[in-house]
Amino acid sequence: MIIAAVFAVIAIVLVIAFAAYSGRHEYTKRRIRTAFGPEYARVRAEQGGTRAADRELARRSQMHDRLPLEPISANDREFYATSWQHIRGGFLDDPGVAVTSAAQLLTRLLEARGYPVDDQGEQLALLSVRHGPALADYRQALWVSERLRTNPASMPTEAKREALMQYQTLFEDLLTEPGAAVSRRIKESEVTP
Amino acid sequence: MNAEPVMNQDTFPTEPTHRWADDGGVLTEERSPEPDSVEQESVEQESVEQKSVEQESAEQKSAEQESAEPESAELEPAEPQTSMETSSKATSDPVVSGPLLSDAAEQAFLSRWAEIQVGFVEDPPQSVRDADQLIDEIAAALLEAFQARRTDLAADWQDGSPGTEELRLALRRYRAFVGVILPK
Repeated sequence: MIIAAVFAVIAIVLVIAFAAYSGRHEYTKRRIRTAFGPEYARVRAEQGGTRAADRELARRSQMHDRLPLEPISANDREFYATSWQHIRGGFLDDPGVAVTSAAQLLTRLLEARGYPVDDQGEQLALLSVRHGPALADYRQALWVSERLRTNPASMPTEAKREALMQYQTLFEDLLTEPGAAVSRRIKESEVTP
Repeated sequence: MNAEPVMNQDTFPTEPTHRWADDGGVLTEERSPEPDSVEQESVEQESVEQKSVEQESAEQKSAEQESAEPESAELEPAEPQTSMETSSKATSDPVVSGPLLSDAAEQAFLSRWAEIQVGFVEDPPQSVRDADQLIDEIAAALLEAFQARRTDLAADWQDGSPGTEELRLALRRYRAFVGVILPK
C-alpha cells in the first residue's frame, strides 16, 4: 500500500516535472521563432522540418552570442550615414554604380560590426538572429547585385532603385540597432585623448 | 528701353546652366560621393522636363551630355548681338558684374537641389515634381535680380540730361551686365 502510494507520488512528480520542462522548452522555441520573424519559415523550408529548424536557430543564436559585435562610434556612424546619402545622390548619374557602392558600404559596415563577410551564407544566418525582418530585402538586393555583376544590362533602372532601397533597409537596421552606435558622451571621451 | 534685349526671357535661364554644366561634367567622372559633387552634378540637368522623360533610360549620362549641347547651341544666336569681348572688358563694378544671386540664396537653392537628388531613389515622381518647382523658384529669383539691376542701370541715364561721357559710361555698365548674363 505504502509502496504503491510512494510510486504514485513519484510518478506524479515526474509527470509534473516533464510537463514543466517541455512547457518551458516549448516556450523557448516559440520565443526564438518569433524573434527570427519571417526567417523562421524560411529556415524550416530549408531544413525540411520544425525540429531541424529549431536546431538551426539554436545554433545561430549560439554562434551569434560568440560574435564580438563592435559598437560603431558616433564619428563612424556619421561617416556611414553621409556616405549613404552620397551614394543615393550618385544614383542620378549611374544607377549601377550606386547599387554596387551601396553593397560595398554595407559590407564595410557589416565587417566593422563584426559579421563575417567572406561566407555569405553564414553572414545571412547570423544576421537573421537580430535583423531577421530586414533580410528579405537584403536577399533581394543581393540577387540584383549578382545579376548586375554577370550582366549589367539585365536590370532596368527601377530594379536598381529598388535594390538600393532594399540595401538601405538593412543599413538602417544596423545603424539604429540599440548598442550599435556609441552614445555621444562616450564618443567625446574617446575623442579628447 | 535700351535694355529690352537683355530682359529677353529666352536668354536668361541659360546663364546658370552654362556655368554649371562645366563643373558638373568634371565631377561626374570622379564619381566621388562628396557633398559638393552632389550639388554640382545636379546642375547638369538644367531642364527638369527632359529628365523626367529620360529618367528610366539606362544611358542617362550620355543623354545628359547630349542635352547640354543643344542648350549651349541656343546661346550662339544671342552671342553675336553683343560686342565681341564683353566679359574681358567688363568693368569691375560689383553692382553690375557681380553674381545675380546672393551666396546665401544660391546656397539655399543648391542644398535644396541636393535634397531632391538624394530623394530620387525614395520617390522618383516626387523628386521630379520638386525639381520642377525649384526651377520655377530659381527663375523667379533671377528675374527679380534682373529687374533690380536693370533699374539700377537705368538710373545712370534716365535722370536729368546726361552728356555723351555719362552715356558712354552707362553703356559700359550695360555691356558688363550683358557679360554677366552671357559669359562667353
